[in-house]
Amino acid sequence: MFDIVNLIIIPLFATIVVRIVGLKYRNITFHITLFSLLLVLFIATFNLFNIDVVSYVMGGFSAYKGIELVGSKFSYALISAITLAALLSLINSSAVIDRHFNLKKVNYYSLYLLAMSGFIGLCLTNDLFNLYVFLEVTSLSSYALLSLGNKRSYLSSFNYLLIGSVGASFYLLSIGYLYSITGSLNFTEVSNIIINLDSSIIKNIAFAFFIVGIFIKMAVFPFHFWLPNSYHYAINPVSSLFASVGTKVSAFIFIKILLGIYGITFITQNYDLHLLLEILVSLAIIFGGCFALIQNRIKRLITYIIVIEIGYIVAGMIIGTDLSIKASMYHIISDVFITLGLFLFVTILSFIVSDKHTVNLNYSQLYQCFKKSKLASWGFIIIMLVVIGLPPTPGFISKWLLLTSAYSAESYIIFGSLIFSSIVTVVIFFRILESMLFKTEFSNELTVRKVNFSMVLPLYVVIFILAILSIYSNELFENVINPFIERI
Amino acid sequence: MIYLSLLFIIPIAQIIFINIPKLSKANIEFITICSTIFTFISAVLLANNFYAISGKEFVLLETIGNLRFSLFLDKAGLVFILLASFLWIFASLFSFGYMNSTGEKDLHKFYSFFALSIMLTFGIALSANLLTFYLFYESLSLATFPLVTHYRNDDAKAGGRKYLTYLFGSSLILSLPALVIIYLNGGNSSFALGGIESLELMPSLVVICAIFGFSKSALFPFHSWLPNAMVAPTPVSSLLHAVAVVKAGVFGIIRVVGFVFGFDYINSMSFFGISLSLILVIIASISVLYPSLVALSANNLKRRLAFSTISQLAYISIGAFLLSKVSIIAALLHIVMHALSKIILFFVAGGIYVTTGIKYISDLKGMGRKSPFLFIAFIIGSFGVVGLPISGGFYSKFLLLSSTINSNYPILIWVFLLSSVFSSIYLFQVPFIAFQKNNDFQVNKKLPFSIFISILLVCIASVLIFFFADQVYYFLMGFNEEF
Repeated sequence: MFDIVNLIIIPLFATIVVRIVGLKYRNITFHITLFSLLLVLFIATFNLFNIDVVSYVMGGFSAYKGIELVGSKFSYALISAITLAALLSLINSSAVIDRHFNLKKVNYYSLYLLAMSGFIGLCLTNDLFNLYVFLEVTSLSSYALLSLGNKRSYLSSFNYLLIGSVGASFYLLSIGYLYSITGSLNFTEVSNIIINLDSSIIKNIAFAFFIVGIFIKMAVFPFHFWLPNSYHYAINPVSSLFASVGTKVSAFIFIKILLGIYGITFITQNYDLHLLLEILVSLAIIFGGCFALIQNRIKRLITYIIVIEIGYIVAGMIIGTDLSIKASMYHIISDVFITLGLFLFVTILSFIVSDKHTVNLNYSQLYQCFKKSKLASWGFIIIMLVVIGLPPTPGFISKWLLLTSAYSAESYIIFGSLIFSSIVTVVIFFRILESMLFKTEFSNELTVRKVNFSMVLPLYVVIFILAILSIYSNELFENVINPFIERI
Repeated sequence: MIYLSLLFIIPIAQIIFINIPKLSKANIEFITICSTIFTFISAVLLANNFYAISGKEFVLLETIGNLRFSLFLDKAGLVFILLASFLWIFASLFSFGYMNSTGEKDLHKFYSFFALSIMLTFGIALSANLLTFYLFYESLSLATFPLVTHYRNDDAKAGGRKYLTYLFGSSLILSLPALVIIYLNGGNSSFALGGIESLELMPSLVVICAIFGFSKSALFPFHSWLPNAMVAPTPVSSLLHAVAVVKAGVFGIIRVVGFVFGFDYINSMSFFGISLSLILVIIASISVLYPSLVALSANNLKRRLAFSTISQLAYISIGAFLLSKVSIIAALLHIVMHALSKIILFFVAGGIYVTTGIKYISDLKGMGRKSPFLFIAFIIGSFGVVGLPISGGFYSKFLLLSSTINSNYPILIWVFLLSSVFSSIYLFQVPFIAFQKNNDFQVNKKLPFSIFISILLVCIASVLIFFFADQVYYFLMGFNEEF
């Protein structure tokens, strides 16, 4: 009924519409954005429940020459999740944008939509080069959006631009190498050809370039340094969009290429590579935890929590058993909402304590927040419970599956780092709990504003979705994740 | 099934109702007491329909990797539920008087978390496998944290920090890895007396981690959170830190030893050449004797009671570590008997604090003559803790002693006797000091009626249990035949 290409076309088209309409009527741009994202959400959820794997060929060229889009249940689920995340942070942010960036509003919304069409394209595309194009589309709009904020945000966004471009170039090089040995850019064809090339050195080089490029985009440990800065200094709505959507979509690309082209045995059967990646991902989790622990500022703390969560997703892939791959795919979807919830709370918190759009949020402000908005604080506590993995939240389900599969696959390094990160997140959680309940000497210095219910509502929508993800986890595994893995 | 869910629905309904904004104090108290009574009634109904419900498993959530959360009812769980719901009534009654006379605000929060904690305790009693147990166990630590730190001052902060550090630290470092290993070796099926059948052989370190991960049981190296948690208001100390939380810890030990690993499994294990059960018994003996010695020197009444609790909890752990069915039943009985008598002691400590503001034992001189009721109640409670006749504690201790003689370690009888001597000294010292002559002593306030009635009723209950203990014993004995 709905071609999957609509999912990309609608936001892309709306980008242009917003730009043109915005010349004259600036105030309806928000509504256009909202409407187009709602439409995408509707189509994606409709597809999720009604159709299975669909292939769409752009412009009618045959799949192996032209660009092919493939929609599977998992990509519909991910698109629904990221569109919902974008919608919620859009609703949550409209007040901030109206207040502080009224003149830049048109650009903001058009870039927002452009980024979304890029993200959706990344989820759907079945073509290596097309994937690069969408990667650049999202990256370019994210550089522009992340530079909204205080003065530091220009610098950190520029920093991200440099690193992101390096990452994209590595990815491009990897495509080049793959094309040189397979002569194709289509995922399916490349994987068919590459399976017969047992030990081609070029195949390994392409993999190395790919891993480095995608790890930069995903912010896995040694390449994570751009993420905390650029997300911390950007304004809240932007960081909440890119934090909840960007890294997760990159993780999906990682899974798609690792499983779809190389096959999981490529890393599990190569002892040295497997060990290297195991150490890398364990370091990612451990260092993410350590850095999160020493932060005093809430938003920066949350950016390091993202580093840990990305570590979980990669760890599931590296362990490489059936269960752990499923766990990491499940964690991609649940992590979209976990991160979104955390950032929505940051938006509320900065609204409560300050009039300005960027503010340093300390632990001591949590006390004010707890006094002023019980609902928001409880929402934050519930989301943090998911982060620490209290059973039976989605955080627990994925962490438990990772722990059991790490132990049974004898990846004791990952097992240890998972335990370590659990302890670290629990310590952070207690620190948050303590600063909410107990007054400190800094607590009374700030002017405090009251939040209205409409700001808190998105937070509870997120909690509701996390509950759904936990209750229907079995259906999700059976009907969405399992077919995806079996097909590849 | 309906009675099972009532145990969760009633406290949740209570929490929702008492959080209605601008509810008067009388209404909050009315809703709370109704909820406690209804909960107890549904627990009794559960007991009446026990044979219809027991043995069935109610799956809450099931997903891939055999990850399953489910509830079931067995005799051990039922006894725990009856105990917790019964004492909840009196603890609520007591807290009405206590919280009013100390002028507490935010009562709806206090009662909400109280109800939540009790609900999670029911969940612990009903858990059908280790994962579900872990769920409720961790949630209970979190739900009791606002209660422990109720006063929000520096002491509360320090106590709360220690509370969470010990409980979560041990469960993450020790329990979680052990849980993963047990689960992977076939331990994901339901609890069964005598151990899960399909369990493969694991290193004995796993058993040690699994047991010591339950630091709510306050076994020796992990006991010091309990005295610090006494910064909480006395109703919290009385119900949670004498009944619900700490008993959840020892209940976990009983579940792990008796229902996951089984006696033969642990008997066959050794740790660096020493029999595992010997190590466990030695550590438990240390935690019987060492806190008794500390309690002798503690001048703060609640602190003394806390150390006494640690020592009595170790009795229950020894009951589990003796690895026989009689000793496990003795341990379960001791959970009941100790709870019934320890709650009196805490109530009395609260009553003393409310009427005079005294926290230290040395200040009590002369109080016994002014308010004899409190100290007679204290003596009745002490009888139970020491294990003298006319109180239920006599039976459970007697059973523990007799199972000690039949076990491999008859020397434990001296541990029990020595600690009984200690406990009778440090407990009876309190009324002894109080009944001394001191004409200057002034009682500032009258004892609130609700505190009086709750102490009286629990005293009656703890004497009555002496005459009906055989009922509980035979009920529990039956649980051998069933499995």
